[in-house]
Amino acid sequence: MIAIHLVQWLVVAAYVFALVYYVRFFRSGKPLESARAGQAMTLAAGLHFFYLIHLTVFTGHLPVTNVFEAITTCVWLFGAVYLSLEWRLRERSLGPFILPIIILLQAVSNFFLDFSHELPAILHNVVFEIHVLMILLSYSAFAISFIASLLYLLLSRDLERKSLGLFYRRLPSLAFFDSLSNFAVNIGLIFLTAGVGLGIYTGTKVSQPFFNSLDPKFVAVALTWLIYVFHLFSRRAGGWQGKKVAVISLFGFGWVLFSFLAVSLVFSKVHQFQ
Amino acid sequence: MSIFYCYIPLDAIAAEKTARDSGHALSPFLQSWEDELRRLAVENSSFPVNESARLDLARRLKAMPEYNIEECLLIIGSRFVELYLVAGTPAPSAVNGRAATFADFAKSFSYFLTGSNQEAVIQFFRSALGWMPNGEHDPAHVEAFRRAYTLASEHKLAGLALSRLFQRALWLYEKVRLETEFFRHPNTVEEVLLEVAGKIFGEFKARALLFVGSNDQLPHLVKIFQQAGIGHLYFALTGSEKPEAAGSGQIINSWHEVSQLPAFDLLLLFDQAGRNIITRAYLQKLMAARQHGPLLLADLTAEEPPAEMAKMYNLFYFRRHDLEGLVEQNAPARRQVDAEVTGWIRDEVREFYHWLNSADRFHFGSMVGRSPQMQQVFELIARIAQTDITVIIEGESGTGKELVARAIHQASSRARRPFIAVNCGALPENLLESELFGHVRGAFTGAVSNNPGLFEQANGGTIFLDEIGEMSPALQVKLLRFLQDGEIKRVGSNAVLKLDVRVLAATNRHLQTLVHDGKFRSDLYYRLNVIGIKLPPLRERPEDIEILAEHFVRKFAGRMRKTIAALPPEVLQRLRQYAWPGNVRELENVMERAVALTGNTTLEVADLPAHLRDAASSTGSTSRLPLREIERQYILDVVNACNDNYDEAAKVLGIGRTTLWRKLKNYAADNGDFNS
Repeated sequence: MIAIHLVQWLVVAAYVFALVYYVRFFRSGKPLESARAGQAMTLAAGLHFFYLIHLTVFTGHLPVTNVFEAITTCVWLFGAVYLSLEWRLRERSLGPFILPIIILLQAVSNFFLDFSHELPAILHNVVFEIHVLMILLSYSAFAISFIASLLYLLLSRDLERKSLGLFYRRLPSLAFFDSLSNFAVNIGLIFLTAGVGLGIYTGTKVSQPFFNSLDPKFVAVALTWLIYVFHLFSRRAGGWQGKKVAVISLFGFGWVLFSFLAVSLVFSKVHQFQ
Repeated sequence: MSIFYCYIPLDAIAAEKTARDSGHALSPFLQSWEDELRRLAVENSSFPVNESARLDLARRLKAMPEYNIEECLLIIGSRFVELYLVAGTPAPSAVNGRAATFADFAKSFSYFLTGSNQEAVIQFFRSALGWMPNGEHDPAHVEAFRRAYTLASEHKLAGLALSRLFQRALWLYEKVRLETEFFRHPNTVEEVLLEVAGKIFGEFKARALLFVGSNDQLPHLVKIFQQAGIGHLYFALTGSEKPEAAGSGQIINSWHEVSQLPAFDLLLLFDQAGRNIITRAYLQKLMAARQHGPLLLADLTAEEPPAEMAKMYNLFYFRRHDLEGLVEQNAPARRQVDAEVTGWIRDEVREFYHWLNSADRFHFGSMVGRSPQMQQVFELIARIAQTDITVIIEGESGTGKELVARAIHQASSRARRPFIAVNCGALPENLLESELFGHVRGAFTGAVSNNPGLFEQANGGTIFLDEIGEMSPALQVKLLRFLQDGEIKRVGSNAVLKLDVRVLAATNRHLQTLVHDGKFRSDLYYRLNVIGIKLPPLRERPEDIEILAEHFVRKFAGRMRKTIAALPPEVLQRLRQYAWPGNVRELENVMERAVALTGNTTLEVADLPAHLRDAASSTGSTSRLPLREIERQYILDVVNACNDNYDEAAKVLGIGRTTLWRKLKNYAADNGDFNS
């Protein structure tokens, strides 16, 4: 019991440690510190993975059955997705913006996670677990898109002001953030669509007579889906580029955060069916 | 090959010649090059050589099959660098004025001929960073620099000094690249423009750039963007530029059909004429055609442009003074980094000169030597250590053959693997065979167990075969087989073992004579003698005696816990005058004895062995005298040294007292000053 509490706070500490390195790198721009930041992040993600395994063994199921378990899993997926991007693109300037989100969410999860809750039998289901993982993966992708769009706007502002701000110095290019953000939204949409589909399938099985389509979580996710489909279509059909699209992404992730936290906190269960 | 400056440095040729005379060999190719230069120098009394002579030289050099001119110049240039550095001569200032660039390409090395040596070393480091004298950075220069060194070392022209400099330069480059933003501060309007474009588009491969107007900076800008990998180049030239300026780009002549123009991503305006073409209306159409994707419009006109261009969605509009402002904003950070890097360079230069002037330079492994011969040996070792070449080390006994072998081993990638030294003369033939190759149980009487040989023990490492000339013919065959196939068999076994062992051999006899007499297999000799290192006897390099003697005094004084300050000149003089038949080993023993005997903090002549004590005695060994005279001098010396104690002198000389007396009387009679 004590051990697992220690581990979960160690994870937060490791992320904070990594953040320090990322910020130092962002300020100085020295490649040497860049490498250290990447190592610290990998270490933190590794520790987090260890924590998730620990949690799974401890509770006897994947940590996706309540909102706080879901958050920590989501945070880890997010970190892993980010690390793979970092490795693929050789670009570390997103780290200082992503890590605060990770640290915040992980701390929230640590505070509220209750190990002793009884699990409803219907949630012992592989399809259900995949459903949650898919949704969480899509959220991670949207978070990446959010950060990329934010940095797009910051860099764009520096360019318009014609001043050599820190963002101008450190960030790669508008085109980079544009394509990263769009790519992340595309991937996120695929996972979200699949996740919602699986959710509806599970819902029809467990809930009699039919699952409640006014379930607040379902409504929230449906709205999220609509926002990102709009993001996709504005680019594909409308030919939108640049700042407009970035603003949609900001708005979309704002809504995701709001619904993920607020809806789950206001209502007592993840879904209101049964 | 269009750029070819060749103000030929005569003094440099002279330096090269001196170097060759003192044992630095020139390759036949360089020899012909040098002859060519000298011929030109004779034919053209005034330097720099005139145009036709230069062309003639260029033609001749071009006709040389294996090299191009750049390489020739470079190779020669880098050799001079080494010579200047080591000699510390004031040659550069003497050459200054006449000597300049070997080739534009080899600028890095040419600096050595234009300034003081210290200045030149600073320039060397700046070259390694691509930091041009005007403060700009040129990445192409860094490449040229590295290529230059690679060439020089391929041609075995980079000596210890240049190698060390180059090594430090690479280190510095890495340090600057990883620890500063040195390479990321744009210096000029053009560089800032490229950076801004990069911040917008990332990669340029799929981008189209249009130059509009007329400007003398055009070629420079074209070059910058081409180096950055721009995908498509278009020109709408309004001035007198010739179409050639466009290079690989495309020229747009008619401007009427805006809709038919390509969708440019970058627009560069140079003048009012350009402004008349790129109107707001045109921009709107262009933006629409590109679905309002980001567009960079840079107006490089000196006068302030009209205001109405500025606002448009996704249009990034930079005027000349915006770009100048960016350069300005950059300046403080750049100055700071420049100062930091300059400081590092200064440290490196100081460090380098410290090394150059210190005794460290004369140490290699556990060997010591400042003479050109030994420096050459050190260079050779440094060059061949990394290869797996077989080496024969020739030298009189006591010259340090095993030390050379150890140094090769230590400097190679095998350093962490075993080094095994075997004296082939010390063991009888059969024993040597089973020692080297191992034996299996029952191979011969007394072979009670399987025994791996020294070759197996040295696997992955190096085996050093001393006195290889003593090896029996049967063993020579076995060794040859190993050298050719890397395979051995243990004595009494048929199993073949594949081993990876580097073979170094040494001999104090002249192997070629042995080959000639049929005592040493010629095929083995040629297989072994891929590289030969000749260790000169100590008497041929008297300049090493002092540094060696000091080295040994330090060594033994430390071991015997004595403090010995220095070697007085009269002791050094005695050491220099002696012929050292036992070479360095004898010197070592003499110094050990002297350190052990002395009761003082300085060594004295009295601490030297008797045969060294008197300077006059050993001069005889170099100047040719009749035996009688030598005998006379020596006997008188010994008597003198024994303070006229004839008893002791007779013992030292190994002759009877009567004989001694008779001889002394004869000498006195000759001189007429001894009244018996």
